[in-house]
Amino acid sequence: MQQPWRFVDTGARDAASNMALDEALLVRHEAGATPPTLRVYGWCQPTLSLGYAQNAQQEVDLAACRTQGVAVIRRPTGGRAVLHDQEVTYSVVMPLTLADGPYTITEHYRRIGMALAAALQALGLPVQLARPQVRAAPTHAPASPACFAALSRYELSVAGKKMVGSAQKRAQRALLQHGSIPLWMDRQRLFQCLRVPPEYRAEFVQAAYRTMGAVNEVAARPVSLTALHEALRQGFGATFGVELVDMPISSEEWRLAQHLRATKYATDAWNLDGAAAWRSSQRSVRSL
Amino acid sequence: MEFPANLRYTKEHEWARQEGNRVVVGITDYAQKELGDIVFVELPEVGITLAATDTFGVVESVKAVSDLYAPVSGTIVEANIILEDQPELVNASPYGQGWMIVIEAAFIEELQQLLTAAEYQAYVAQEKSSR
Repeated sequence: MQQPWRFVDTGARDAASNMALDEALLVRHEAGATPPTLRVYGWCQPTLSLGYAQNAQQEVDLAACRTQGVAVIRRPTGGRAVLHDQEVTYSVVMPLTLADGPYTITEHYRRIGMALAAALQALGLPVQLARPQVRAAPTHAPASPACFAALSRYELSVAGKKMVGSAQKRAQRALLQHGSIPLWMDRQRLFQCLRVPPEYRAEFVQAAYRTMGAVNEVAARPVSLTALHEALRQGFGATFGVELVDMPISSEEWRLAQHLRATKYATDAWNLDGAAAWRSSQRSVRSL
Repeated sequence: MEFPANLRYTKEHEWARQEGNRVVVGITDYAQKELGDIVFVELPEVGITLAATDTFGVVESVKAVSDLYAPVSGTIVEANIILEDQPELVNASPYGQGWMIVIEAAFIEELQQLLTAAEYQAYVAQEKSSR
């Protein structure tokens, strides 16, 4: 019998706290101090999250974000921009080794994809787990800086619309995969917050109505946060063959998260200048 | 898939090649295939010191962000900064142009604790198989 996983809902918090908690949970699980964890959370302010390597100055219209009241945060995981608002964000921290099968990157996406698919199917959505395929882009337009506009490996779609945007970070013994499951989506606002050539903005938004989905746009009856939380819990439990037990965030995790928030995720160096610049600034601080 | 016999390997899928008291480090052919197209490589500053298993950098592919781990302890004496503009070299030539750092080893004997090509190949086979 496998050890139970932890299930925890940390509620709607600010962007820096959300990312700091994701990293803290990964670090503590890597250290062997905590069980595998499925966390669900939300955002107290609409937030544009960027992938680890995205160039904030080039990709984000920071003035528009300020005007719109949209926070900007850089994730520890890769990928492209995601606008978080009315959604459930899932975050799973688990070992690199699975009990009963290979543990390649693709396999983790597949297993977690199956868990997410089970959750959405239980809510009545006709979701498909996408096989690897190339998405045809408008040939004269640049590639979209937005995550949901591209289908990649083992991702979930309803009628061709991507329902979940996920990203993964791998450490030595554990991984973090988190993702956005929108209940509602504001495509206009997303492309206002991103730097896109003005002549292509309307086209990106139009395309987004075809390629990006939200649960309550396709569900027969409105789905609540609670219903989606419970469906995720069941979906992960069934797919990984584990019991998910309510357990709180530990005091060590809170302490680490507060430290990471203050020194990293709440800083302009990390969010706007990028990981390398932040690391240099940390070294300068240490040498003082 | 290539597992050059003259290299040593880590379970985190880095390779190490000895050149005197220096060790050249990169990620393996298996790692670059698993990761898929690499879009970003973050390398350390020359001059910093690391212990074996410390993270020395980060690689991002279309599939994941992955930490990179130092196979031996020592000082970073070279970093392949071309990879900052051409991360795809890691996919195209993981053992050649895709090299990442050179470490001046503090204890060159640490290399002996790493996996041989045969051991690494067996480790990879296990990782890929259903158990």
